[in-house]
Amino acid sequence: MFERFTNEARQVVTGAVREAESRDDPRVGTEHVLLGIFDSGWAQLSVLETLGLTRRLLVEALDEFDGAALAAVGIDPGSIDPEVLASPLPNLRRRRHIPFTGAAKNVLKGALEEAIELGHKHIGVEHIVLALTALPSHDRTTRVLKAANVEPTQIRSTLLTSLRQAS
Amino acid sequence: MDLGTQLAAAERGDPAEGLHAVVVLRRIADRLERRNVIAARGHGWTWQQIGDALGVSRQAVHKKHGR
Repeated sequence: MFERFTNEARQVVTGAVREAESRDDPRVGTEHVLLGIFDSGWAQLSVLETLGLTRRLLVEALDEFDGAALAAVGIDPGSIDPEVLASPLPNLRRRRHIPFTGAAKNVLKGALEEAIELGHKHIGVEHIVLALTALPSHDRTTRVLKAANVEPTQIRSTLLTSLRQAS
Repeated sequence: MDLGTQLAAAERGDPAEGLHAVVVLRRIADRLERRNVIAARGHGWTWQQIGDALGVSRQAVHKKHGR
């Protein structure tokens, strides 16, 4: 499947792995794929930015989720040494391979389907973005987008409009 | 919050929050472990001593943190 990915789309995938590593997360999830888009050098990134979606906003929303989860089990996130909480030390022995979650794999498969739907031969970052907007409401990416005040449907329609104008 | 209250809350509440808290706590534990293993090595601790302190085998701690 990856042979049809553009260079930028491949950058999204490797960026997603790097994001999961740097956050010390056990799996590469859809939220890391979303962060990977901001690291990919995608030419149409402005489509997301005009909707108010920035990398910093996403990272803040993810950190807020972490804090809310701790608060939900009675732990005050402010009581944890911020150095321990926020600053990862480099892994002395980096794990060879962080697996993708089922949902993240489905996003990559979904990108293929979005490309077919649009009659495109390549799979680009735009198709990955479209696949990310089709996730269920409980998915972390959907929740992060909502927390950043960006509706997934809004991203979808804006991006599709921009793709139609380009073709 | 005592344990009984916490368990009751866990049963009532959104399991997604509780499960995500597990992930965050593991991350914190991992980072805490790494910092302190490095510090212990700096203080001349053996892998055996670090393993004993963490409640794991010398081999386990060396495999995870050794180079």
